[in-house]
This record gives sequence, C-alpha cells and structure tokens, in this order.
Amino acid sequence: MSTIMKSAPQLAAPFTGASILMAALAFGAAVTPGASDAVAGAGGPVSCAIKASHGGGGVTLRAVVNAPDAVSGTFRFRVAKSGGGGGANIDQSGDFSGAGSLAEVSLGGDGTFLARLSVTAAGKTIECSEKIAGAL
Amino acid sequence: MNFRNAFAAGATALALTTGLAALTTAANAGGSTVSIEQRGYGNGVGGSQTGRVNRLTVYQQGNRNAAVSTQAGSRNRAVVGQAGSRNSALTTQRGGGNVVGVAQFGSRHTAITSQDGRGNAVAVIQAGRGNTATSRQVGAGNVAVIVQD
Repeated sequence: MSTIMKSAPQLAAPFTGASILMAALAFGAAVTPGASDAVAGAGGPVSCAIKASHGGGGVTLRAVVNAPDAVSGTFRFRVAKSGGGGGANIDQSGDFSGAGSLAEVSLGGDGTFLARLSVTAAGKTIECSEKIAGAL
Repeated sequence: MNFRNAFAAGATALALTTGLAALTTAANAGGSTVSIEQRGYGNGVGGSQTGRVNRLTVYQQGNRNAAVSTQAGSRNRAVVGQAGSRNSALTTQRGGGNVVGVAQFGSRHTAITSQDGRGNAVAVIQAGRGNTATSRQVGAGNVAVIVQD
C-alpha cells in the first residue's frame, strides 16, 4: 500500500454500519495517489487530499483534510460517475475541526469518476480533484 | 396487480389504497419494523418513521414502482429492493448512525438518497443499463457506496 502526498493522520471515524456495507462489497486496499491542495491560513496551514484505494473490483475515495486542531471549517466532497451502467452523483458536506477523514465514497463498475473536494477554513477555500476512468 | 404487505410495528398506523401503502410511526416512537412487498405495475409505498432503531424494508417487482421513505432519529435502517424497470427509490434520513441500502435490478431505475447527520452510510447497487443514483449526505464521517454494473 502506498500513501499519497501530504497525508493527514486518519481519524478513526465511527463509520457506523459502513463497515458492514464495505465488507459486503469487498472493497479493498491498495492506495494510489490522488490530488491535493494547500493554503496557509489563520492557525496554520490547511491542505486537502483525495485518497484512492483500489481493490475488490472497485475504488474507494476518501476525502481528507490536514489542519491544526485549532482550525475548523466546512467541506464539500462531490463525486460524479458517468458511463458504464448508469450515472451517479454523490454530494457529501459538513463541518470539520482539525485533521482527519471527512467522508468516504466507494464506487464499483465501469465508467468515469470525477471527485472534487473543497475545504473552506479561515475564509479561504482550497480544492482537490481526482479523475478515474475506465473499468475498475 | 398483486399486493402483499407484512409488518410488525408497535405504534404504527398503516393505510392502504390500491397499489399504495403508507406508513407512519407515532412521533418519538422507536424500534418499529415495517416490511412491504409489492408486485406489479405502478405501485407506490411511502411513509415515515421517527425515533431510534426503526427498520423499513421494501421490495418491489415490476415497472414504474416507487418507494418513498423518511426516517428521523438515530440508528435507523431502510432497505429497498426493486426489480424490473423504471422503478424509483427515494429515501431521506435525519440523525446519526443511519443506514440505507438500495438494490435495483433492471433498467432505467432511479435511486435518490439524502442523509443529514454524522456517521451515516448509504449503499446503492444497480445492475442494468440506464440507471441513475444520487446521494446527498450532510455531516462528517459519512460513507457512500455506489456500484453500477
């Protein structure tokens, strides 16, 4: 497993019920690079990243923010899928405080996947994007 | 049209019309389980559950069926299975730790899910062509799984 740039420490997020779903879909493990962005704001630098893990016939995209504990803000993680068996749009948003995993999306099937993560903190917005095409 | 339903829910009211099932649990109730199965054309089921640990299971087979559900509270679970074509599933959950699963087999199905809260999970599986899935989650620590094949 390889990790991506500027990898933020991952929080043990309480994905209640998610583990069941994830296990059922047997998505796995190998992490490949994603995209990241960073900005220096009040309270320290803030960066975002999208981590992609391939395995089990699918890909898992995890939205990650790296920020000092004192920094809080909002995020929006959008994933659009086109082609293959159909189209899908996923929109996840919320608040964050400090570094950690913000949201997670797992996708299976053929098609093109475009993921965008925007993080706003201290009045500044940074964005990360990741595009995955072809059969997973 | 063949309609069958089975449910066991304390404090649950069920109203039925031809091809339409509506369910509503009493405010602040919890722990109710509702299971509905419909076969045929143009069936609809809709309703809401409020409280904790509610369960809703809907299975529809045929064409142009619709399942609409709302759950408010925590640790609720909604599962929708649809087979045929042009069926639609719309689920809304508010609270934390809720789970919704939608499985659609056939063509041109639509799945729309919305969750507000923390630690929610959605899984949509669509097998067939021309299906669409839209999932919206507001809150931290949410997970979405979409598989289309």
